[in-house]
Amino acid sequence: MFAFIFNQILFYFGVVLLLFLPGYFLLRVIFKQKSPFSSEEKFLLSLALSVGIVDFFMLILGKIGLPLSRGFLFGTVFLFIVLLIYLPSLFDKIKFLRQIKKRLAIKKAGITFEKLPRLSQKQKLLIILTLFLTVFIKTIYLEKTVFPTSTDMGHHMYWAKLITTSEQLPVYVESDIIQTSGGYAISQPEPIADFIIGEHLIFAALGSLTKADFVSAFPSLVLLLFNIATALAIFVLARQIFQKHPQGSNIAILALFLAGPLFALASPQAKFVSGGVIGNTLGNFFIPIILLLLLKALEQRKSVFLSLALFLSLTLVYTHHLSTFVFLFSLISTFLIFFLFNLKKIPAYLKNWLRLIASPWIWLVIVFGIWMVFEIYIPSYLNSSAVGTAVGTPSKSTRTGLSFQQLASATGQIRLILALLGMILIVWQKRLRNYGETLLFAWAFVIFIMSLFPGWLFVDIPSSRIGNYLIFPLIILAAFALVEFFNFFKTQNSSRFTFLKPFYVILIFFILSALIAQNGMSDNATSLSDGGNSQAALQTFQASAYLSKFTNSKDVVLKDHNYLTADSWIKLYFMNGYNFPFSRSYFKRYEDAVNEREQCTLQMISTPNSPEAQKCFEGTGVNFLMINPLYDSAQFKKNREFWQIYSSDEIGIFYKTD
Amino acid sequence: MLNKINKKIIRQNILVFILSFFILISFFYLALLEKKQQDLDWQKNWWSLYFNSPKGNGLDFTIENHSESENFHWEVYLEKSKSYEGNSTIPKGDKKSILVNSLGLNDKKVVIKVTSNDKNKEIYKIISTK
Repeated sequence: MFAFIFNQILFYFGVVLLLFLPGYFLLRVIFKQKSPFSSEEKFLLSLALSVGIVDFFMLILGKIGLPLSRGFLFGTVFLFIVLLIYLPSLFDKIKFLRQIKKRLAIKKAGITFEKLPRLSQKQKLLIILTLFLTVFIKTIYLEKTVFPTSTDMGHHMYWAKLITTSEQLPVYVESDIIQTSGGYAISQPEPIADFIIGEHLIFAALGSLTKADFVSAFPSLVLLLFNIATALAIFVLARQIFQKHPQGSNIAILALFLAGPLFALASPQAKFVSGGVIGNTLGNFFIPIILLLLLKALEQRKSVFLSLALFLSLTLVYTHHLSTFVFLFSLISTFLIFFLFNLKKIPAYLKNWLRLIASPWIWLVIVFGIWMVFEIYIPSYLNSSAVGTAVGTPSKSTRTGLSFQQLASATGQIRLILALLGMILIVWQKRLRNYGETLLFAWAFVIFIMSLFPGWLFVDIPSSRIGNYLIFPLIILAAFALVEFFNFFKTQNSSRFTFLKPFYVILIFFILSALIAQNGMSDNATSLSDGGNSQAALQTFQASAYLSKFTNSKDVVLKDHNYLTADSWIKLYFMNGYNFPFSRSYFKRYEDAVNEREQCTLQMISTPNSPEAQKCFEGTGVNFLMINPLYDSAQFKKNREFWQIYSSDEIGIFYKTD
Repeated sequence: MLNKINKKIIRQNILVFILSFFILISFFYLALLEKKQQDLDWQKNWWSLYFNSPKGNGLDFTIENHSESENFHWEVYLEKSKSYEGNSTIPKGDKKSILVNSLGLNDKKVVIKVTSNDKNKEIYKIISTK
């Protein structure tokens, strides 16, 4: 127990040191005591900026050949924080630095940042209750699923562990089974475009610093932190968007309620946490934060906000391609819609925007970004083939768009209806002249189009994955519609609707609220029934640990993905390549006529005695097979070439003799 | 004075402090639960059987028990005839290695069958002459 508590303390220390302090002190240096952010915004920005800072430090350290070891990581981050603490006084002491400071400084005299309206005690209480419910429901769900079994998380944690053990940046390559003239062989390592380094760096840094085991709850807990922070980010963004609305804070609280306790589990929420969908979870956190900064920059005409937005956009580029893609589309559509509804004032706006860009803060980040991409590390997906797979005429049935019914079921019907009402209200009330409402409208609108009619925008990405990004703008729109509905009948306009007495208005409001709550809670209930299977997973881990003790560089392992639990984590016990052990994939994949794949991994387990399988064994050197004995042991027992060397309820290991 | 500043800081950051507290409790609880789930014995009921040396001709094997049943009956078969057998008591969380002589068994299939509480498992090797 003592060791557990010590490890926990070390883990929290690591989280604070790596994921909060760098960003927090950077904000302090930039804004000094005059912070323009609320405490919630500071909390979120510290988290987001820290991810960027740690990522870029690791990329730079790795590029220049310094080891990404515990000592170096701790030293670098610690020095950075110390430097940030003493930087202001250092700038004051040295003449040259004083001049730089003058160039970069946020002018002291006359600088005012617009602050958001204060929250009342009742509102704060409501927020606390909502946050409690948010954390509580997600925790209850993760009780069953926090154990490391998810396939995606296993894949990601291999790379994170590789960074930790090799103390270097990973090279994203894998070897595959290929057909040669008359036989089969294992290919030379080939690049993989699916993984993006930002998905792994923070886990590697935390693993390195705290020595936390990757086959544990720690990766899910880190994702949970970002998922909870996303709900808070929706709250602060809604507050910023509707800061001038008389019910702005209430809209934000309702948005928090819709993003927190309701629909707390279904994708892209806690299910993405337990499922190890790292890129999306981080992307969903970064997008609202970047939009918040962008909004602040446009509304307050402060370049410093824009530079922070740019820095976080750069972090997003290094973290998740699809999120970056969706974010770019949202941004472009925001400006297009804003242009469309403000044609007369465009010259004046352009002038303001040019002023915003003409700042050393902005150029500092742009130059840094260019340097990072071209000199330090180019994200693996930024090559022509990867871009080609995302942009173009939709190529598969799963990419030709969702039906409205599918979209409604993915986003929650009542929430979708309310959000559509919110969009109509924004247009009807001529709110598209404001940055905030335009941004919200465009954010939702473009994802609607990308999900329902991807061909219109030449998007060639699975539509259901895009649809997941719609949830957060919908939440804010739904909250707006609900509050606006209630507000409408309270104002003078209600006199025109005398047939609706206050009692009925309140009744309708509560019916709508109850419907949406029921919708969200039943969604939670459905998700809660999904349970993990720690006993089966443990057997996989034990068998992997056993086999890894006896294998050497000549041995090749093949495992089954269909019937083994947590099989993607097996590779973490060998650390011998991303595709080690090779895997018999889902059966349907071997029948895919479009993407024909090798059949060896199927044949070597399903029909090991066939001539084709024998050729595969010979060519690939596979000599250990990990399977579920309930489904796949009989075929091996018929052949005297195979020994069964390990047996438990969920996993059996066969050894093929020479 | 210090008290006043502290109060001001707490008032300004109350939401963040409370959220951090909720997260901390949640993390600690989930980590504790996961630690228990990682325990091979906690709420578990399984056992495994394996050769001590998977590659060579060695026939020594281990029974690793994480089930409620403590009594294990094992049999060694040479091809299809039972060669010898024995019983072992292995408490939950324990494992026992059993030695089996592999000399003079060239090209014979040696099967180890273990039974416990109506559940049985087997492992086998075909002793190589190489």
